[in-house]
Amino acid sequence: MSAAELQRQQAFVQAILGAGGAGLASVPGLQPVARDAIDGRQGLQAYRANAKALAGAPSRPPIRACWL
Amino acid sequence: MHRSSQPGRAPVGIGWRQPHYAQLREQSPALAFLEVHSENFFAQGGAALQVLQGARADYPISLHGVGLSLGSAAGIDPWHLDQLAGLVERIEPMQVSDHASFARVPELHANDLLPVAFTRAGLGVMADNVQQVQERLRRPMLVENLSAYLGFADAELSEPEFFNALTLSTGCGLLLDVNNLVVNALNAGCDDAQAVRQSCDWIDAIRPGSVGEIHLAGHARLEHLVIDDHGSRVCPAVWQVYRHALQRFGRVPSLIEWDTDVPELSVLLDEVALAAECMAELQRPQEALA
Repeated sequence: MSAAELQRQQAFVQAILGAGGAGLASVPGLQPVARDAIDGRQGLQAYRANAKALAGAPSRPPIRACWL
Repeated sequence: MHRSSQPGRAPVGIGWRQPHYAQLREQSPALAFLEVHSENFFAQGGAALQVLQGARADYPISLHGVGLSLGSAAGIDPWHLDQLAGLVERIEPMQVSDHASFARVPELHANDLLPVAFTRAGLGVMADNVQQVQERLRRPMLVENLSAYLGFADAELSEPEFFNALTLSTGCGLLLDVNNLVVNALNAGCDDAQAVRQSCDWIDAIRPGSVGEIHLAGHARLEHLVIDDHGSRVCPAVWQVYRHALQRFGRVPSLIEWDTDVPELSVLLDEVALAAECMAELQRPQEALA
């Protein structure tokens, strides 16, 4: 498995959790899907809005709360 | 005989959600298959599993997961895979699928479908994970394209290139979510006509024969963002792209998904009829994966 991808994914999840004030800048290469329509903050908020149950989540997935 | 094996029936099913468990069993509407979320049936017994096993006698079941985390560089959770393998053995589904996303990092499982980077390293991670799942389940699986709200600047592959490489290297199929294509295009600033065109171009870049199922759903249009919430009827733009997909890939099994504000069952059956109408317009034989 790729150590760089793992680092990126960990940073992404931490950014969504808002842990340590990491934020978008800590995620290597992260960019908005659409520069014109939504900025990165809105993209992040879109995930955060769906991540209320994330904080302290166990390693096993809670069910039925994600966008599909 | 399963209802799906009746000759001439369009291969269209619905996502079977809890509000319709009883009604569907009572009415037994003509549907080609039912799709459920695998994780809701991981318990070793109980009412939900009993309901699913009952429905299995009347309908083929497609198991659609949201938690395998196929793109995770931390690998597949062995507990999760064990549960899925047990369910597959019990239900003998017509199809097993999950998403081209990640959720799992060490010590945490994000309760969402997070986008993967379309890099060669990201492709390698997902291919390894898909192989592991397929070897455990002893069957090929389908992997669904995502609606994503963020992406990565260092992408080395387009999304269709990523899926073409994944399906070729692992033997898995693509679960084509047409709504996700349109949502992504709208979020990229396209108007409806541009979103249709961009989505059709995406479809044209996918290798024929690699699509094993199609998902159809509604989305919510907010002021600055389109959310893939599966909470409304399929919109005209998505139907237009669906027709294009059928022309390219043939009569691929298709599913109406509705997960937010789930309406009466009759509304879902109306949508099924519309999808069947689209299929009836086709003359081409099926080119989908068996």
